[in-house]
Amino acid sequence: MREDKAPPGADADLVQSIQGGHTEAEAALYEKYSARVYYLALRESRCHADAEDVRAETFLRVLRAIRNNHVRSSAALASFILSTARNVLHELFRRRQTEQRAAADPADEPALPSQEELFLDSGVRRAIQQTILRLRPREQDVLRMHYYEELPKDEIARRTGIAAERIRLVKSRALKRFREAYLHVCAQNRGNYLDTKAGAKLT
Amino acid sequence: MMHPQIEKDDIIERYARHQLAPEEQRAFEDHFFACDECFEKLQAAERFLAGVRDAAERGLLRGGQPASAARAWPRWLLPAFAVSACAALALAAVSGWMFFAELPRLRRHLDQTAAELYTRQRAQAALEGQLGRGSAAEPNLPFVMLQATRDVQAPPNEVAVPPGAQRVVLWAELGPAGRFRTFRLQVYTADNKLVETLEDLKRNSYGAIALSLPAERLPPGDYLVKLAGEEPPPSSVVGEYRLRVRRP
Repeated sequence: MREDKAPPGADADLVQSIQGGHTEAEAALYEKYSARVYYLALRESRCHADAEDVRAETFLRVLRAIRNNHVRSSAALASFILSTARNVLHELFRRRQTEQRAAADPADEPALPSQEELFLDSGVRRAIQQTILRLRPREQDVLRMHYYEELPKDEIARRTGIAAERIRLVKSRALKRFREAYLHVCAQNRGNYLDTKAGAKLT
Repeated sequence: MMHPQIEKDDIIERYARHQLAPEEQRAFEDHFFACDECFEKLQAAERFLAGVRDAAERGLLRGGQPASAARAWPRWLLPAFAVSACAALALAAVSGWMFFAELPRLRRHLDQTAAELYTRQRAQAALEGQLGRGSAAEPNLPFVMLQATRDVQAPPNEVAVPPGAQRVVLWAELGPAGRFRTFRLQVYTADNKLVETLEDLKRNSYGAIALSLPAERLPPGDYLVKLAGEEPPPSSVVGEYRLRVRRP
């Protein structure tokens, strides 16, 4: 069975171009994968500065490997970038552990933000408010119970009176409306919110 | 990892919520690193998750919370709620009927009763006024001492009734040797129409019969006053008196 991924030919061309000394191919590689590396690093490290460092170090190593012809399969470039990012993250965590052990008082360590705080900004808030306005009260209940109270599906169905098999539909419909609202908000405030390509706030 | 499985197993949301097993997590990371569509969906899911939790934290996702709280109550309470709801509905129906049908009828009845009461109060006030006038002292009371006579040419007993006089007092002397304890007095007009009858009259300490008649019953004119003994029977006439009433 075929896996639904980007065509490998494009990545192979990029590798060949980089090895041929084309700097614009390096920029294209960065453009294509930097957001994913940043996202993965941010999710694991829960720190924007560390995520930025992980991204920079990852691409430094990836480009060096491509230039030195150390990439075994140019068609599996995505997997190579991912494994490189994981290695860099692994090194980051080992460094953090060392620093924690060396710290005299664990209370001096900065508190890491929650997963939600990492992805929350004013654009997300505006989009979610617009989404909520379009939801029925029972659909709002479903979202709160599922994502916030983290109740089991059967319990949500019992409390809201919505059939368990319809809860998935309520969630996907709300998510679809949120994506539309977020795109609209981003279009109105282009450049002010999280850029999915760069993976960092531009403001 | 392929799209149908990702869709079916809710992989994107579960990844965002850190609910995947380590092997599933690595497999999905391998996938979205090479799949633009899934990476875009993943980022949207992360933002959506953060937004929903933030909205719930800020109380924006209250929805039908009271209703759902009610549904969360024990099932054995539901019959009680049903009974209460039925009672409330019945009460609302009765209230509506009272408000729209019964109250207007009662209001009309009350208005009618109030009108009748007002009329009665006015009549009572008028009656009390009359009684008040009757019980008040009345000076210059017209008085006539009735003298019996057989002479038809003799002048009649005459009384002048001044304006505003309420009553006319009649006084009839009786002989000392009468056998009757009670008497009856009747007043006739000149054309023999009965004007007034007074019964159960008794002698006063002077041995006379004294009585008063409403002045309005005696307009100016000539009258015949008949006095008859009643008890003990048989009854018989003890005197007839001619009376003339004048209005000066």
